[in-house]
Amino acid sequence: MKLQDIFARAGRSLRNAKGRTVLTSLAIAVGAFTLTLSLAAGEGARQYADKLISSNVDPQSLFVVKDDSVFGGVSGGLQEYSATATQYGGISFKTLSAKDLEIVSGIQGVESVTPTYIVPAEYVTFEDKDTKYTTDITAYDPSVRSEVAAGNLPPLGQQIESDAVVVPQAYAEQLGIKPKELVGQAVTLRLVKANAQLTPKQVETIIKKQGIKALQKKLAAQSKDVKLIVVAVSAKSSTALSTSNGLFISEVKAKELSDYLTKGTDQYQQYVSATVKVKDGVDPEKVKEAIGPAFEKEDKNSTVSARSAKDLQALLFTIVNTLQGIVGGFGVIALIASVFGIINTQYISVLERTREIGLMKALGMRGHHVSRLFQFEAAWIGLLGGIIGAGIAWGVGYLLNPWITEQLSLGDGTYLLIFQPIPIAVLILVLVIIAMLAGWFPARKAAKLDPIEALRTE
Amino acid sequence: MIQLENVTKVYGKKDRSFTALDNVTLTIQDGESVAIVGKSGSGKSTLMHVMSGLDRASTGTVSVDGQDISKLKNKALDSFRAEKIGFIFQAFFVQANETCAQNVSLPLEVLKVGRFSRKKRIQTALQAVELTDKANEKAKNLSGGQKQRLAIARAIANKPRILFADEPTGNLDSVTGELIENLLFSFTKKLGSTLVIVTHDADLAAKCDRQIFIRDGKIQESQKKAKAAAKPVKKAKRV
Repeated sequence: MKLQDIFARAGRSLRNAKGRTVLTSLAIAVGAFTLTLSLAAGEGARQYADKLISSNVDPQSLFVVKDDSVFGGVSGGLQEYSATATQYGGISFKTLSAKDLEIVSGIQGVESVTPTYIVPAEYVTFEDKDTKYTTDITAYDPSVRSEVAAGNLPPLGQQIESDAVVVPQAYAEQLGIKPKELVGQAVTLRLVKANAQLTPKQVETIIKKQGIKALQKKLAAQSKDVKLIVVAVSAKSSTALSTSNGLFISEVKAKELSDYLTKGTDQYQQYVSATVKVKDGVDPEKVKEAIGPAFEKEDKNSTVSARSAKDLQALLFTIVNTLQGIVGGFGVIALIASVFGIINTQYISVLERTREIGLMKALGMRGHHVSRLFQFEAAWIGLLGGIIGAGIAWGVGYLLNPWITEQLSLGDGTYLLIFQPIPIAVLILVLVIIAMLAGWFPARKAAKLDPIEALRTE
Repeated sequence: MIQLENVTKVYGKKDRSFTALDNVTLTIQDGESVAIVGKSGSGKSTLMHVMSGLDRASTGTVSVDGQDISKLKNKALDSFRAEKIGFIFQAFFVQANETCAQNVSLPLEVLKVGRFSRKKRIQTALQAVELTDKANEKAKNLSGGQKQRLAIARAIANKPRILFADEPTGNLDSVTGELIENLLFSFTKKLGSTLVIVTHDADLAAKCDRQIFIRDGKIQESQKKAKAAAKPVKKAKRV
């Protein structure tokens, strides 16, 4: 029997049992629906993660730290004391020294190394407002494009003026000032310098040489007000993580203030992290690989860890893939259930059509052609189920996408469910193959049927 | 020509065995119409199965046109049936949900006849049983006689050398039954095919060229039709 004739016959006998066919394929449709959604959500999340990274991290840069636990989150338990460790958010990190940064700068392909300056201001005040606020203050990253609600930012790659400050839009809302009005206003940072930590010997020498007053002066807390002018209010963005974080000041200013605050302490010129700008045309991964050997040459006991945009992407993708795997797992379970459904339905079909099978075999139809007939029927069921499931998933995604975007405030045009035709087509193909495998058992039963037994009339 | 030599068919295992055919030797000539007559359980159906290649003899040889079909492999036996044999059953076995044309199409599909010539042969076969107007009608909407006519159309579509009919009129009233009988005889005559009818209907058997009586798996007697005797039977039925 020709393949196309078997195929047509399979389709015809399914049409003659519409109810059963549709119900069986609905079982597969549940699996197909779940798997399609998990594919769509995974793709959407990956694209979103990509967008997130590209709007926050310069792909030509590396993020360098001394202490790997910066990446790994909170490291509990006993930690070895280090004189050069710094406290940040209650967690102690080993810090990068000026020497470390120098070694990194020396690596071929590195354009510049910029430490992350932390300026822990005591409080911040805005012009004409008495309220004192606390906020994060970090250096402006010129390699990342920020959207502006008001004011102007220099073109990509250029730093802001040294006395300039960028304020997030959320602050303007909190202050009750329109972003436009905030531009040009002054922001005052109150900096309080920690006491100098002196050893008994140092105290002794100061008293001997400069007298007790000098010592008092040295131990008294110093403070300083820094006045900055708002040049821009950064717009809320769905993908830019940093805009909502705090105030941006120029790199020069950040360095100056950071140095002022730490001078005389053992945290002077010690940094939790640094950003390495890699020259255009040089692969950041190559520079990353060169860090280890460079430190080996200089100082065997010391090294730094580096992360590239790619690593960050890989980390996010791991999370996305895990979540997708969980959702997909449910789909697979639904599929397994539907496989038994197909086997059951096809067994009943074989029983019902015993005479038809007997007749076909009596007329000289080969056993494996009979088997193929039933497998094709199963394949049709798989195809139908796949199309129904994927179709409903697409429809649901189409309707839900705007709502999800609104709920997660992802920003216009960003959808979390992205349906791609090729993976869905592959999925449907896989379902057809699974259905055919499920149909194999009943098909074998049909193929082995004895025509004389099947045609016995009683 | 069908030749059976010392054919024995045993069902079951040693201690519970049942001999359905016991040392049967028999020859059926080309173009001959033969009735195998016997009570149920006599072995007449088994004889038909063995001759048609549906079943295999336990011992002995079954040759059709000089070919020993008892030695054929399954695949060859399947194509032997597809090419040379036509079957008609008491219960018709037409596919209720398929149209008449689709029913007739089945043996042609098995024979891998191309779409175009298939269409023509279906038409010819349906025309021969006067079901042309029902070609696209589903078989379940046909009457009993029409169903058996459809079964005949299906059986003759591949122009078989031998036509086996197992109680072809068993489920039909006498008028319809006679119509079917006439169809069978006229076709086999036209095609020059051999007709083997399994029946316990003496009237039908009498219309055949030869009757073979079978009992407990053994051939009792084989008698040729007396030409004069056939006609009164026919007339008696018409009354």
